[in-house]
Amino acid sequence: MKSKMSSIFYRELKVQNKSLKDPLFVIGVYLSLLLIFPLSLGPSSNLLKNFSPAIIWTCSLITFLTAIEKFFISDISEGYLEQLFLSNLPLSVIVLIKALCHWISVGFPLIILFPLISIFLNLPLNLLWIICFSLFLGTLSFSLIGIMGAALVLGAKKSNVIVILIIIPLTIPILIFGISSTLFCLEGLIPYSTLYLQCMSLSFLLAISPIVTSSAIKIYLE
Amino acid sequence: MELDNLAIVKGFNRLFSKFSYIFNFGKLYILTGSNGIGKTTLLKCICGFLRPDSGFLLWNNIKINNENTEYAKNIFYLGHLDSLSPNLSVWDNIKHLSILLDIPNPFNEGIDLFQIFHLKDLHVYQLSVGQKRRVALSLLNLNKKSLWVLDEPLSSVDKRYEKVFIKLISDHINNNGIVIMSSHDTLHHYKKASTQIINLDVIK
Repeated sequence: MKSKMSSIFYRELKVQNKSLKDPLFVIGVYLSLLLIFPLSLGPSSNLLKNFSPAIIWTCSLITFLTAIEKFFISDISEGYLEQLFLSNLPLSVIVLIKALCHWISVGFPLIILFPLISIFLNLPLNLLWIICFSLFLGTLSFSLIGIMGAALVLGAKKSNVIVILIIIPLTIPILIFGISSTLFCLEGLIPYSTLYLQCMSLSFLLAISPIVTSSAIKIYLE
Repeated sequence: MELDNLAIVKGFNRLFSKFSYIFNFGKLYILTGSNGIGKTTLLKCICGFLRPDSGFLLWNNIKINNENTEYAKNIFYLGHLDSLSPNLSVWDNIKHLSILLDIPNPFNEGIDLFQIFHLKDLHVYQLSVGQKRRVALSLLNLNKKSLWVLDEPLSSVDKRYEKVFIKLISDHINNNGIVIMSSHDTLHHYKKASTQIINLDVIK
């Protein structure tokens, strides 16, 4: 059981990061999205500082949306989902492993990069680690929502448009909590309440997402 | 293993209605029939990917429902896709599948029936279609799962590997396994006492 899980984990990481260019691509998308804002708002640092929480979170959301196809696209065209189905592991466990791998290959580079970005956006550095923690909670939730959406549109044509329509409404609460905890950080407060709310939504998703996703996969296989 | 009064509706097509069949241990069953008659659908139904709209499957007289993981342990399924990831090496793919499905790794066992050992370090996207198929078929080697469900196993494989394949299958049957496969082939290789040909055109 354990060897199966770790085998799926390593395979998934390798498939999602075929070469170095995949994480670099994620980082590139994020940085170029972030670059738009200083350019369009002008160099006045006050405006940037007010908008920066929203900028950080929307950019990471869009980066996640571009990486949503990583979940299942290749598995379908290879006929690999059937083998997962016969592997005797509960599908929900497999879903959790897949979501975790997705977070490692998309969310992790963003968080590593974040200190650099905060200099970019003129953020105070003293509460940086709390912003990083709240980004960790938020991006992991994005992965869990993303895998639900990706599984729901399995086999549909033009799925990348539909999946965005499904996912964006679900991410709104996470965006709100995330942005508000970043706002508190910028004012020099430690945002316990919103961090708790983020933890709450993450644990809710941890419980719901595997169930929804595995039943969606079963429907697809039929 | 038994199929009892199976009915499968796919889209607006009624593929099967009241289809019943008994599969016995130690036999090879070959599904034939024209395109679109439902060979693949029937195989998928046997594997449990697809729930029949009515009727049920029995395995050793026990009804199979969707949550029956004991049943899934007995199946080895090879669809017309090879389940290999193009971006991983052959070795990684085979190692992963053998761990995932609890079957022996043909690379470790040292019997290179399908002559794939020299492909070991290549990525799967570098292989030809026939080579990929051979890599997938190598998972049959020493495979102890009692029910093999194979969908067009020999498509695009060289003639000389057919003999190897037939030997694997007859060994499996002699070990009291069941092989259910679909095929377009002329079938003259397989004609034996333990072989049963199911022509879906006729049955329906």
